[in-house]
Amino acid sequence: MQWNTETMTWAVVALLLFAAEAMAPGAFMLWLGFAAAAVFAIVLVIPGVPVLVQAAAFVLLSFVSIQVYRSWFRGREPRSDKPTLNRRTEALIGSVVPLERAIVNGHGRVQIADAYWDVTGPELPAGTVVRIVSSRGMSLLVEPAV
Amino acid sequence: MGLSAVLSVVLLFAGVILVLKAVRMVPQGYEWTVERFGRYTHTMDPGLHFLIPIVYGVGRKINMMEQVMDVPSQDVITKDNAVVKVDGVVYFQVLDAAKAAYEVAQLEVAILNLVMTNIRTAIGSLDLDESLSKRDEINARVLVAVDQATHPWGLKVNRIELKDIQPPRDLVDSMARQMKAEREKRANILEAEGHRQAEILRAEGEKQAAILEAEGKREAAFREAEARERLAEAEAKATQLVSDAIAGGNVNAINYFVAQKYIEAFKALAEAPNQKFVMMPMEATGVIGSLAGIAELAKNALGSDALAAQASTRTPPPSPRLGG
Repeated sequence: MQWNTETMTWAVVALLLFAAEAMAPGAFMLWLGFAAAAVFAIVLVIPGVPVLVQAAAFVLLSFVSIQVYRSWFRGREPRSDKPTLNRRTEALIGSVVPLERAIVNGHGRVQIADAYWDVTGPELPAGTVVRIVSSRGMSLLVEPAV
Repeated sequence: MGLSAVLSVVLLFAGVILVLKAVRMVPQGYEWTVERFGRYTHTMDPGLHFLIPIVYGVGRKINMMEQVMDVPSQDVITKDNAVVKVDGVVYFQVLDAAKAAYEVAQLEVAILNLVMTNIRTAIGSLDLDESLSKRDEINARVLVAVDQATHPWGLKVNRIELKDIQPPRDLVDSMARQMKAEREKRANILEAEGHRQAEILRAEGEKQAAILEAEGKREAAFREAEARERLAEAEAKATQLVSDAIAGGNVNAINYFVAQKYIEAFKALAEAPNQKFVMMPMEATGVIGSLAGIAELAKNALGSDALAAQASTRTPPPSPRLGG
C-alpha cells in the first residue's frame, strides 16, 4: 500500500465526481464516482497496475456499479406521494360524474372541468351518474354509480 | 506519452459517454420515448432509467404538463359578411407521449391550425351579433371538434377560449349608435305610455266623480220628494186632527190658531230690517176678538172638573207642528 500520483489522481477524480453529482444531480456521475473510488482502492492495494488496465477497470466498474444499483436498490425506491402527477386519466379514476351524452354502442361523453372526455361502458342514458373505473388510452371506462 | 496512455484516455472518454448514454434521469412533468435502433419500444416515466447504450436511445422528450398556447389573431368572415378579428388561447395536455411523439409532426403547428380553422368554421356559421354574444357556444363547439381531431395524437384539449372578437371600427360605431337609438326608442315609448296611462286615470277619476255627484243629486231628490210626501202626509193628518177637534169641540179653537198665526205674521213684519214703514189695514178689534176667543177657550177648558174631563177628550192638545 503506497500513496503516489496515481492513487491521488483517482481519489481526486472520485471526489470531484461525487461533488459534481451533488451540485448538479444527473445520476450518471454518481456511478462514475463509485467506479473511480473502486479504482482508487485497487491501485492503493495493488501498486503498479498499468494505466490502460486502470482505465478499463474504471469503465467496467462504472457499469458494475450501475448494475449493482439496478439489482439491489431499484425496488426499494420510495413511492411518490402523488403517483398520478401529470397522469390526467389516472387522476380521474374514482370520480363520479353525470353522463353528458348517452353511451350508445359503447361510446359516450362526460364533461369534467371544461374538458370533454370520451367514455366507454354499458349502454346508459344521458344524465346517468357514472363512476370512472379505469382508463384505456384516451377514453375512460365507466360503470353506473349506485 | 505512450500508446497505452492514449488508449487509456480514449477508453475513459468512451466509458464516460457510454455511462452518460446508459443512465437517464427523466424529470417530473416529462416523458421520454425510447427507441431501439430508431424504432420506438417504450416510454420512460419520470425518474432514473438505465438503457443499454448504443442499442437503445432516447427518442423524443415530451412535455406532459398542461400547456397554454396563444392562437394568433385572424380575420374571420361571419355569416352576414362582417369581417372580425378573432384571437384565442388553447390549453392542452399530452396524455400519450408516444402518439404525440410519432403520430404527428410539428404538434403545436398542427394544433394551432386545427383551432384556427375550427374557429373560422364556427364563426362563419353565425351572424355577427350571434358570434359576439354566443362566445361560450363557440368555445364549446371548437373545443369538441378540436378535441376529437387531436385524439389520434394522444392529446387532450382541455379548454379553448376566444379572447377577443373585434368587429371593424365603423361597425362598432354604428352598433353603438344602434344601441343608443334603441334605448331612446324605448325611453320615448315608455314616456308616451306613461302619459296615456295618466290621461286614462284622470278621465276615469273625472267620470267617477261625475257619477258620484249625479248619484248624490238623485239620492237627494229622492229624499226631498220623500220629505215632501211625509210633510204632506203630516199636514193632512194635522188638518184631519184639527178638523176632528173642531167637529167635536168649540169653534173658538180655530180662533186660537188664527190669532197665533196673525200675531206671528205681524211680528215678522215688524222685525223685517228694511221695512221701516208698514202700510197695512189692521183691525185690532179682530185680534182682540181672537184673544177673547182664546179666553173663552181657556174658560171652557179650566171651568169645571166635569167640563175639564169633557174638554180633555174633545179638544186634544194642539199639534206642535201647527203651533210652532
